[in-house]
Amino acid sequence: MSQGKKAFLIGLLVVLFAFVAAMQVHLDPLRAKFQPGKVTNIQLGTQFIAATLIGLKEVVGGLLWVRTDEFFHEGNYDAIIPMVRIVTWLDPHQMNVYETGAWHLSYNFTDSQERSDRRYIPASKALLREGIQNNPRTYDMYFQLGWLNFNKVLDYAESAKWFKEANIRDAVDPATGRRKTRPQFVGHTLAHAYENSGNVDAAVRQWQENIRANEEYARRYAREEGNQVMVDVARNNLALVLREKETRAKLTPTYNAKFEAHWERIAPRKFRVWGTINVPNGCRVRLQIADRGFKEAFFGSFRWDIDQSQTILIDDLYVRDGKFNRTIDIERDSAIYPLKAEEYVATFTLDPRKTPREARDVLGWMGSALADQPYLVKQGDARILQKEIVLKRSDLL
Amino acid sequence: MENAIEIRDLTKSFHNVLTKEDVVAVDHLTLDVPEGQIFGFLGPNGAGKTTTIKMLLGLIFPDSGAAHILGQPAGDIDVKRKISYLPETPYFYEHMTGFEVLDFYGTLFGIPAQKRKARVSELLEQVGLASNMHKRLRFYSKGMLQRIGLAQALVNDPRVLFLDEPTSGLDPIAHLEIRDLILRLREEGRTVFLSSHQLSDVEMVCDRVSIMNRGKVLKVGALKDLLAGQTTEVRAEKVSDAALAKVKEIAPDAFLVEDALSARVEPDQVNRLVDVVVQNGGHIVAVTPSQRTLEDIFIETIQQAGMPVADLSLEGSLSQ
Amino acid sequence: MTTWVIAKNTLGEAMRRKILNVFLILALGSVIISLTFPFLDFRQQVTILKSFGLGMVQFWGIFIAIIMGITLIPSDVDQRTIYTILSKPVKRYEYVVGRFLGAAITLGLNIFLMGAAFLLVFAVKTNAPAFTALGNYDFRGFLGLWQWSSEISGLMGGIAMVYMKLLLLAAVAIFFSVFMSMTVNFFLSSAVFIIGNLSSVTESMASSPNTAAVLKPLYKAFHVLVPNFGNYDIQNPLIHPDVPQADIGMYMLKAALYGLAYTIILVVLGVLVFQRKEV
Repeated sequence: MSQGKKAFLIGLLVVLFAFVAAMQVHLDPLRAKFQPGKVTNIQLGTQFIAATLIGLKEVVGGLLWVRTDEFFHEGNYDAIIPMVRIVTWLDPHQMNVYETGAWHLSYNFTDSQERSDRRYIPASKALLREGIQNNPRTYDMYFQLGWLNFNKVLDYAESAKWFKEANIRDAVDPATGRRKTRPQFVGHTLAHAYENSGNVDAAVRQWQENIRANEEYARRYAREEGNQVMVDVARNNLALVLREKETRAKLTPTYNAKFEAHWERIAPRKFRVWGTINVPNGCRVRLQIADRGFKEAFFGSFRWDIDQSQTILIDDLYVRDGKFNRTIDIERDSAIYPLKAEEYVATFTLDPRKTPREARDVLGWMGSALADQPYLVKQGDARILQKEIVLKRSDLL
Repeated sequence: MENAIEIRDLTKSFHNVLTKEDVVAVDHLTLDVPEGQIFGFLGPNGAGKTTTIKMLLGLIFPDSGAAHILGQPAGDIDVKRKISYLPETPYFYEHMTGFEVLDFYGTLFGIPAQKRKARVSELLEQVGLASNMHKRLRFYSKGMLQRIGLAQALVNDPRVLFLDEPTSGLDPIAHLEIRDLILRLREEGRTVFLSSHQLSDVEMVCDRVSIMNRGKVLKVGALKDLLAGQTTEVRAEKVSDAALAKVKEIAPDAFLVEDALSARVEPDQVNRLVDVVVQNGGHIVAVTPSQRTLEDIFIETIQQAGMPVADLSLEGSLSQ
Repeated sequence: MTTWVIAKNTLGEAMRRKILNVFLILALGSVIISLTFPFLDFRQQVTILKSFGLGMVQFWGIFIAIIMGITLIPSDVDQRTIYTILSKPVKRYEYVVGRFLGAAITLGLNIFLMGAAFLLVFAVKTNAPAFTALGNYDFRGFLGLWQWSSEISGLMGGIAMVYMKLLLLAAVAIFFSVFMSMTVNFFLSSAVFIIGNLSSVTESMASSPNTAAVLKPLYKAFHVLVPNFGNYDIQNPLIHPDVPQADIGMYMLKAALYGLAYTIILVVLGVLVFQRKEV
């Protein structure tokens, strides 16, 4: 090889190296966009990183999730949450893992009387928020966070906020990868959330919008069956809400529910709660027994190491013939209810927003008909009934 | 006569990994090979023969000195069109058939497809592999592979051939066949550079030979000059002590065991000696030219040059 | 021309090499095995099929690329076939470039076969209704199969990225093979592959606030000069169609250009080293 050719090749190398280096600097920020999102609290061994090297991250994630399902059926609940963490790290776009993980955290750790362990709620919310961060373009994760607030936390204003986000996003058909209009139930649950939070005008607008959207949906997916039914459902719901709006607007604060609640210790960690309230059958009085000054924790990022010293118990007491009555036995649940604080508050609440339709016809959207003394409490525009009993640790032990 | 190969002061040393010393494999080698001859390049294993050939082919690069083939610098692409090389115990792509491998080498010379096909078939015929041409080389015997090696060395109709130990490991019949083939190459006017460590390979075919040891050429010349000093042994029976005395005038080393004579003479004295024996009533049993091996010649040559013989054990440890 | 002859011969040689064929068969087998995977739900089934298919193509492709890369040139040298080639009018660069091109074509053919098997399995597995429709002579229903074409083109992009990644890997192995023994080269090429896959680690080392200021330029130089195989680790958006994919085509093009430039660097370096190699 002549010196000239050699010099040319070395020059070419310099140019190519410069190009490669510049291209790498250019690619680095772009690459981040196409690689799985960032997750917190990984705490994983190198064997998992090895799997990622050969591009099998999603497979490992998927197979671990199959194994997780077995844990669930074996009742090995404690193993599930770390698996959720691993799988969502390997593939933060497997949304059903976020969904199932959050459901599991919210519902499945229960005491001996089937009440779920409320201390996991912050973790469940944080997990879904991470799911939203990593999957911000489809409706799924927003809907799940909305549903957690709607169905478990019973915070309708908060749930409406997330359903609203879900309701402006599309779904993706997992098989074809093509975008598809979100299912009709998203708009429906949003409207229900507005109703339950007492935001009746927003509910009416949402039902009108739902009718329009459902018609559009039925046109677009004409080959699917049952879409026309959803249009009719939305129409019926709109008519119902309009009728309710009219009748409930006439309610005046004259209704006395004669609310009273009592607490009695039966044995260590065993007590009876009972009381009277003149509301229709099917209403529920919510009982919360918690450390005095209890405040739900906020997890900035997902973790599942909950504060083991807190006590929070929530139960819904069914009202039948104007009475409620339940024996609460937490003798075998000292892990969930450690009772470490000196003082506790037992709160009995009837929130009209959380009652069935028929009850709200009597009480109003937000309790506008309620006139009880001494337990009437105003929360913004809402009028709720609430009685608090302060308990000593010795009262419970 | 033109020189096909001219080597001037060619030097190459290797670093020995084990002893951490530089070993001079070829030491200021100067050599001319006239065109149209079969040149025997002799030397014991490790003498530097293969190293020299590899430098001539441009496979390795000399530390100093130069070599020209057919007037052009060795290793030049143009030179390579006119020469060819058969390595010692060659390996070819085993997945190919005899036809395919020769065709492949033909394409490397840029021979057009039509001509290549004819040439390859002709060569396969010539080396006696026509019936095995569609068999994979994996199933060839060592002799067949050696013949494929020769055929690939002929694919470009070369003017100069470098054959490195072409008969090593072959059976006697194959040996003879290769020898005939080499003789035919000379008839066709080609120059053959034949490297070997066996005298029997070269003595029947070579016009000129050189003897190399430890990277240096010790002797170059016509084969018959090299073999000068050859003696013939005469053995006879019924030889009397009186006859022995007369024999000793011609062959001073002659001796008797009972009545059996053993005598050693220059080839031109054989007739005289036989006459003396027969005239004195003796009975000739055998007249045998003494077989001097290359080693004998080596030792002789090397002793004349006053240097030790190449250490054979060195061969494998050179870092080549 | 001579380069092309060497390349063609390399392809013929490689396609008949048992060990490479074994990897190809294992790859095809593992892709086909995914037909039998049971899954929890459809979305997950699709995710795993895609990830597993792409992963298998890459996994077995790594073996093919490395084994081919480390052996092509050294086996010629060890078996002395190189003597009969370089003593013919073959320029040394023609030999190296020809060997490399042959490896590139062989790799392409292997990846193509594995990728085609994967796409076929994917189409069959996700498209049971279309095939059922065909069974019922419902040809309109069967035409639904073509709805998958956009999905398939995304996966083809993924397979192309696997090819670029492995081409770069093969070039690394071939470059080292010019002056290194096979065993050393095997570990060295594997190590370069692992480091190059951890692009995000080398990148964050360079930008982390915990890194000493004097070391940052060193880390940065290391990051931009090491062959960044991690650039091709973008199967996630291809597996999840709901993840943003805007500009991914442009990104793939740029990543391919990057790989091509780096591959040329390695081949030119290989040529320069081989130029003075004593065989």
